[in-house]
Amino acid sequence: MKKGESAITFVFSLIFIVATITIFYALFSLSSLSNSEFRINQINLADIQINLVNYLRTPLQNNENIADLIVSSYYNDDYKKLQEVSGEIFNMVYDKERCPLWNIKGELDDKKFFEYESKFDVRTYTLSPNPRNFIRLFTDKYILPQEHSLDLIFPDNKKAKITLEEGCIHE
Amino acid sequence: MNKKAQSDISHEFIIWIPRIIVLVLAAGFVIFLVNIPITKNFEIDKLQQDILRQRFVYNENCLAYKDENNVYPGIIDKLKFNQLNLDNCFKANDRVGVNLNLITNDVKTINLNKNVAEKLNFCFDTKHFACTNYTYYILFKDDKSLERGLLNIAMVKLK
Repeated sequence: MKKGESAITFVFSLIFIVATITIFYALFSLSSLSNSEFRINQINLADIQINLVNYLRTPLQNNENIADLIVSSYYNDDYKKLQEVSGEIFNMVYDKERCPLWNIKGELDDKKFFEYESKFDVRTYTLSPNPRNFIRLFTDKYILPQEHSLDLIFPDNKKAKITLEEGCIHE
Repeated sequence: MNKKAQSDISHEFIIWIPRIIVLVLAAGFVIFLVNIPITKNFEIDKLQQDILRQRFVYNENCLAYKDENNVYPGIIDKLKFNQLNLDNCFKANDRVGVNLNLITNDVKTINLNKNVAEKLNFCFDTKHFACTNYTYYILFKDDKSLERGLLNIAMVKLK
């Protein structure tokens, strides 16, 4: 092989190596990005947990709390008071400026038996902190939805899953 | 050394120049790619504040209510919401300031590390300050009954 050909082969080899590394890097960064977000979000779950536990043990009249109200609402098929109390609490906790998204729902055998949420305009925010999300070109604000669930045991041993989701603004 | 050998060495040297340039460019490109997302995706300051903030509602030495046997995270002992107790409970470092607002029938405010906490108004300057703000839905013991309230914790850290 001539020396000129050797140099060209070397340069093309390097380009090939860089291209290969770039492809592997892209795959690696996509997977590692979601992993790091997952770990960091776990810490914030302790905040939502407090809000959900306190919601369930909020005292009402007659020595009852909201967990009791959920049970009685389910058996009486009357959710009016539950809706009223839930809205009152979460609209007070999550103000529209900082945390415009909240959602509380109850599921029994994977079927929702109640769900209430804030009036949330999804068009105003991006729902991902991913810098590759093209919507971030138009706004720096993004909402990071996080949720936490607790089990609630009914008198007939049915197990309901109560889930609170919140979405606060990050910049 | 004869002239042919000298010519070969200088010829080899000239051939190696573009190879070294391409190698340096390739290495620089890879380092550039690796560094950008890593620096963008780690917000250690906010993570630290999240952990410090949770201490207030989970720790019996801070605000968490404790009866004879158990600690109740999220239930606040109003008697513990005073400057002395919170100064003792929050000994993070001098670079973090905290503004706590306990909202019940009235609003009580306490600042920790006052000199830094006063900088909360400058949180728009993200180059120099890292800020977090979270509101907990809390219950607090009032005589024997539980009452509803909010605990807002705003934190600022000097970068």
